[in-house]
Amino acid sequence: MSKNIYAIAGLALGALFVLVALNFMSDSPNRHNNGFQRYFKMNAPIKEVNKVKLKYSNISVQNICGFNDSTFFLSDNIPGNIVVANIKSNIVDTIRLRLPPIKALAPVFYTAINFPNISILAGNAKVIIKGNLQSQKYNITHVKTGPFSNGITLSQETFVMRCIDTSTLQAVFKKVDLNDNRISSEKNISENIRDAGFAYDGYLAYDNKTCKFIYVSFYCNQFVCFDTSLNLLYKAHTIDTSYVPKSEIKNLTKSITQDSPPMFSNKGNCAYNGILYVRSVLKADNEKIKSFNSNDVIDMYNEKNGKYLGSFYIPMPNGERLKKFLVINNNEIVGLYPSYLIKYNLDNRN
Amino acid sequence: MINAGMLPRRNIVTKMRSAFSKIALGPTKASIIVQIICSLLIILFIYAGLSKLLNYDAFKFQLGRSPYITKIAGFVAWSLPSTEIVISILLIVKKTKLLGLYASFFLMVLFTGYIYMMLNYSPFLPCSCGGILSSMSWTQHFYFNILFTCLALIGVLIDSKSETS
Repeated sequence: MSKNIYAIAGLALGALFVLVALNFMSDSPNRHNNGFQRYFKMNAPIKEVNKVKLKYSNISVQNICGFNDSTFFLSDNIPGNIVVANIKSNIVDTIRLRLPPIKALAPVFYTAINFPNISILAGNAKVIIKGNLQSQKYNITHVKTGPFSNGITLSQETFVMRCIDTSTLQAVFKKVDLNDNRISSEKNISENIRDAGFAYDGYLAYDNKTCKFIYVSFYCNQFVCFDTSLNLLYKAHTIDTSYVPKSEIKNLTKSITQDSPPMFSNKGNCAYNGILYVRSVLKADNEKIKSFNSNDVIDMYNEKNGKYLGSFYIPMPNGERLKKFLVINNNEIVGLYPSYLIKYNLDNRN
Repeated sequence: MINAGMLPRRNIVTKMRSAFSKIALGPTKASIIVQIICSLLIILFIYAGLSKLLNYDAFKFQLGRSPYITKIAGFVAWSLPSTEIVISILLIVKKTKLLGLYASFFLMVLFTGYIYMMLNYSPFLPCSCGGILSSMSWTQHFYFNILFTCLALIGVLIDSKSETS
């Protein structure tokens, strides 16, 4: 019997050895120098102000879709669920939207709440749902934009999204105005490649103080800034050196996708009052691995010209990484984690 | 000379041995349980192996999108389903049943650990592979694999005990 137990332990260790070998074989960008430096004015992470635990285990929060003073509206992976979290009183509640059945509403949808108004932009269903959270009445508009991602609500009637032209497979930013049912397209913002939006996939943020859009790529260091008329203002680069997305695009019989694992450079951004905040996943050469692994790092750029301003750390509560973040005023930032919503003070960032 | 480091390990082995010997199963009952476990593993491996071979290109493509396997996707794409089918044969043949159970345990630990790595450490999570498993999420897949790892372990323990007795 003891022989068998040793054999079982040996096999388990053997399997573990194979997994460790696989891990070492993989391309982890932070195992070697990435060829850039970060500038921190302070060594410590920013300080937590308030925290609310998102205790609903059956709800998987995805995004911050709006806020009203201390009340934050969070979207779930089901479009009909809105989590309402009050960060001061520590109260969490759920609103169930009485949405009519719409095919392919999930998983690509973008909810924006300016209480009591709500809009849901569904990229695969190609619909815009406008409604009121109090009356629970909804208006559905089918838009002829093609499938889209990164939907931003500018007002209850105007929306900007990154659309895929199904014939050319090129991704372009489009603006939809429901007042006169007009769809306008950008001319020189997106890269001229037929990648169905994969290679330069990224995250679109809108700064409502400066009325500018910033689109930061996930897989390379490129970001673009454009105005609400979809005119390009400038193209710039984040501080890392990943100039070209490494993943190739493969055209399958029914779909298009990446044929190798994409390497992330950035995983989200937001813009507030002339500053772009980018969450980078690449370690700078002057950073300690321990600090990098135990915090999320945010790089700041001047929105006027894309110039790097400096970086700061956001601590990780119980080892959880940021899902989304939002700068809500000049000195406060809110981080959304799988189990928490936390407000931090930004005063000591620079 | 007694190696001090050996003592706790021996204790664990003795404890496990005595705990397992307390599970009193008659030879018929033990054989039925092992048979059920083997059948479940055979169904799983034959199905998974064949569906991977039949959808070879799609499977290879999906493996290539995994950050941990991308460099050896070509090798894994044919060796993994072949191994699954070989293990099924080992489980079918009476003489090699125990060896098959050991191999099943090894493979299931490997699968479970891989999914754990993907869920917790991978920078990118591609969609899961073909067959019945495509309808499962990565997390469901993880628990499914834990179940089959436990079944293989129970099979090894019961079968090795009945073979010794």
